[in-house]
Parts: sequence; C-alpha cells; structure tokens
Amino acid sequence: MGNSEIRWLHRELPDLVRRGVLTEESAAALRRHYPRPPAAAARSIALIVFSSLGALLVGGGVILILAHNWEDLTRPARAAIAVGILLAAQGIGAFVLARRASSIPWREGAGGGVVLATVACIALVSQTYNLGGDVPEFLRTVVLLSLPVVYILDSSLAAALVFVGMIVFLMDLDPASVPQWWFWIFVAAFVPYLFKIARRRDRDWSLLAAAVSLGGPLGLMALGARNEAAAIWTVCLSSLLAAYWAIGSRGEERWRKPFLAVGGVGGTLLMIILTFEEPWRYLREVSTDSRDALTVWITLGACVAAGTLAAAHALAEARASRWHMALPAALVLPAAASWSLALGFGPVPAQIVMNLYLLASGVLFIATGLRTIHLGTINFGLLLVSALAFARFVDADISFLARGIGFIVIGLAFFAVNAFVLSRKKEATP
Amino acid sequence: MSRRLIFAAFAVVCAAQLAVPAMMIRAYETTLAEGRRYKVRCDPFNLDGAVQGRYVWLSLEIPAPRGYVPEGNEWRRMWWATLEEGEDGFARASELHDEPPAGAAAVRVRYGGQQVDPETNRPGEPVLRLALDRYYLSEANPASERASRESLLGAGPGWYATIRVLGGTAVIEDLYVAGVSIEEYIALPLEQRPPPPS
Repeated sequence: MGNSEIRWLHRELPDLVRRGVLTEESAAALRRHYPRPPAAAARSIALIVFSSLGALLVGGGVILILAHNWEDLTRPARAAIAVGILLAAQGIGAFVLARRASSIPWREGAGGGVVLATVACIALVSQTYNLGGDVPEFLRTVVLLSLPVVYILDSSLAAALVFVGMIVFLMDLDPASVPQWWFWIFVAAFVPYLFKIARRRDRDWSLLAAAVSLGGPLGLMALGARNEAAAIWTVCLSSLLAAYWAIGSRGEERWRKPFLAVGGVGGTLLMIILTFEEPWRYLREVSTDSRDALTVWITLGACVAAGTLAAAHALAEARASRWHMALPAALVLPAAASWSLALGFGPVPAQIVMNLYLLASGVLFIATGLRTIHLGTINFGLLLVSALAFARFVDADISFLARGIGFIVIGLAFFAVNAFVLSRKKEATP
Repeated sequence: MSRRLIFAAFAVVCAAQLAVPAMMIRAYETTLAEGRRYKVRCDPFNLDGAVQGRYVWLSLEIPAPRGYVPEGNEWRRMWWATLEEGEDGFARASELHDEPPAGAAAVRVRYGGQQVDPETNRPGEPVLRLALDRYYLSEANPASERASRESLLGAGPGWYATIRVLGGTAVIEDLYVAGVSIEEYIALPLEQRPPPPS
C-alpha cells in the first residue's frame, strides 16, 4: 500500500469508528499495521519536484540567453560555451556525489541537469557546424552517454529523460542510418533501473508496468513502420492492446492498472481509427523474404503470442457471460478478419466489420450497465456509440443539418439514460 | 558500491561526455581549415527559417557518377561518394562506395531521384542528395522579416553552398544567394541586393 493510501486510511478511521463500521480496537490494529508515513515524505516529494523543475528552468533559461547573443560569438566561442555548459553540469554532479549524495532533490536536479547539458552540448556543436539532421544518430549518442548517469546519480528525472529519448529514438529510427538492435541494447541497460526502483518501493512493479505498457505499442508501431511488418500493423497493434486489456483485467493488483489503461484507451482509439477507410487502403501481403525477415518473424511471433493470450481471456469472459469484458480482449479477431477482407475485396468490407464490432461493443457496455445499474459502464458504452456516430458523420457526405440533429439525438440519449439510471439508483437505496 | 568506485565511474562518464563534442569540434575545425572546397547546387525549402533566424533547410544535390543506373527502390540506401569538380565548376560524384574509402575524401549521400530536364521536361540524370541538409542563420531583425522573405523568393535559382571535405567528414562552409553569402545578402538593404543570376 502506498503512502498516499495509508494517509487516506488514517484520515478515514475516526469516521469509520464513529459510524460503528469499525471498533476502536480494530482501528488501533489497523493503525499499528499501517503506521502513518512521516510527514517529511510528502514534503520531500514536493522538494524533489520543484528542484527538478528548477533544474529544467535554469538550464532552459541559460540556453535561451545564450541563443539571443549567439550571432555575436565566433564559431570557436560558440563551441567553447557548448562544452562549458556540460562542464558546469558535471561539476554540480561531482559536488552532489561528494557532499549531497543522500539528498534526493539534489540528485534529481543534478541528474536531470547532466542529461540536459549533454543533449544541449552536442546539439549546439551540431548547430555551430551546420551538421545535418541525423536524429537517430544524435539520439543514440545522447542516450548512450546519459544511461550511466541514471545509475550513478540514482536520478528518476534522468531516467525519465532517457526513457523519452529512447522512445523518440525508436519513433524516428532509420535502419539505413542506425541499426535497429541499438534499441534493444538501450532496453537491456535501462530495465534494471526500473527493477531497482520497484525493489525500493516494496516490490511495486507499477512503474515497470507503465514503461512496458507505454513503450510496447510505440515500439511496435515504430519498428513495424520501418520494414515489412508495417503490412500487418493493424493486426499486430490490435493483438498487443487486446493482450494488455486481458492482463489488466485479470486481477486487482496495482501493476495491472497501466496495462488496463493503455489497453482500454489504446484499444478504443484503434477501434475508432479502423472504422475509417484510410487504414485499409494500402495494405499488402507480408513478405518474410527480405532483409527485414528477422524483425518480421519476431513481430509475427509476438503478435501470435499476444493474440492467443487475449483470445483465451476473451473466451473465459464469454463463458462467464461477461460479454462487455470479452469484446475488447477479442479485438484481434475482427482486426485479422478485416485485414484478410481488405486484401481480397478492398477496404469497404473491412470497414463494415470494424463498424459493427464497435457498435456491438458500445451496445454491450450499455446493456451491461443498465442491468447492473452502473453509470460508468453505461457512459462508456454511450461514448463508444457516440464516437462511431461522430466518425461516420465526419466521414460521410451528410449535411450540417443532419449532423446537428444526429448530435442532438445522441446528447439527449446521454441525458435520458443517465437520468433513468440515477432514478433507478435512488429507488434502490433506502 | 563504494564511493570511490562511484566517483571513478562518474569521472569516466564525464570524460566520455566531453570527448564526444571535443572530437566533433576537432574534426570539423580541421575539415574547415584543411578540407578541399566544393560548390554544390541546392534548393532551399523554408525561406521563413532564413528570415526568422532559424535555419534554412537545404537539398544539396550532386549528379550521380556517369553510368550509374538506379536499381529498384534506392530511396533508403546510403553510400559514400567521392567527389570531383564538373565542367560547370560544381561538384559531382565520381564513385560510390558502401564503406568510407580509405585515404579519399568522401561524403555521405543517398539517392535523390532524377532531375527533370528543363528543355525536354523528361527525367534526366540521377542525382544524389548529401546528408548535410541545413544551414543555421543568425537571429534576424523582425522588422525586416517580410521584406527579406520577398527578396529571397525573388533571388532566383542561383542558390549554392560551399562545402569542405576531408576524409569522411564534410561541413557546409557557406551558403550563397545570387553569388553573395546569405548573411551578407540579408544584411544588405533591399535596394542594394544583387539581382538573380540570368
């Protein structure tokens, strides 16, 4: 249980005792079992955040001031300033290691400062000599030079900056410039730090889960976009997001929540996107007989594994008659069917399948919500149906009057259903 | 991990972080001082960048080696090209290599399509595009931005860059508009700016 939950519990206990929900003895036992975290913990978080913000702002301000006077400087002077910025940040880092190693705010500020100074120094030198925009090579260099700083200064801010650098490196990867396997080296070097943080927080794996859940779809899209695997991106991404939904909805553990969030939001967005014609217009069959063969096979293998996991979960939910939980996990099935239809018959049949799937999902959520009198479930279903309607209104050649009437009808449906459910809830509670 | 070890590791990392820009500066200063100079035709993409003091995005193109025939989808492929001076005084590629040729000045290039012959309006000789694609400018006077943009638009097709090449390192030395360095061109009052080349 995290510190914020424990503080919440301590705030609630007196009220629970007063209402007779808990006895004094039970409340005292809970207080002993979950001791109140020191107030300094909350203050130190604020200090860490503000010191990190301060480092970012000071660094950014220095760079802006230098940029304003840049044209008055000679080329050697510009190069010297670029290196000087880095030297100053490294000096602060050395000071922190020598005198403030136990202070988290100092380590966070210094770690973030060194990473930003490294990026700024190399970028300024590149600008001074009018070097080309080889972004993958630039990012490879800065990520390589910044990764050790994460461990040496033990800085989460530095780790966050390096993570962003890794994701941007992946999104902008050009195999003609930098080999793809560099990304896996970065991952292998970065992941141990996430394990280190998890062990420090009583084995709270939610940060690692968040990194994996966010990095997975982005990585898949980036790797797939650059080679033959792009031909099946719709199926690969749908199987990954469906697997995330399956992992996230199988239990209540904290580490599952990032997967549920990314799977739910990402899967919904993907469903909406796949109802349009554009994703199905330029499909082609996958060729595994190319220089990207290894990446294609790995992508296909991961897709099959994720899809199998998701499909098994969908089957289990269907057997338990929880259809509204089964459909998101089954996303890979209509996506794969649509892909096959699009290859053989063009985009229209694929669009029909995805539109029906999205409509069915929305209707099931609404029906389940009405049956269980759960407002959140109903509204999510209404949101899916509204998104579908909005997508079709935007896509089709319909007059403004018709669109306006359609939106009003949907809006009124929202109000009516919510009012109905609220009245039913009032009747149900004494 | 002991404090001494942490300090030693940090020192090694700092040395590596400083070595990278130091090596870059040394390589490019040496290239600018000792490298061979070539003129390369270019097209600017974003004149707004020129007048707003950001950078001019360039497409530096050189004719491919004589006899070069593109094979299939060459757009993602990169080579090292050794340069020679053409009859018109501008650089062209003499040979293409998959790795940097030892002991020779070479630039990184990728396939740039085929130029359109202005007389016949048909695809002409294939060209190669250099990996150098931008030229940074000083912060301009905002009051003269619009006038500068219109003047640059009217400067005609005579843009070219001079590059210095030493070994496998190439650096843009300057950018020329109507035969004048772009910094000088923008600094001149509008009525004194040279006309576009005929």
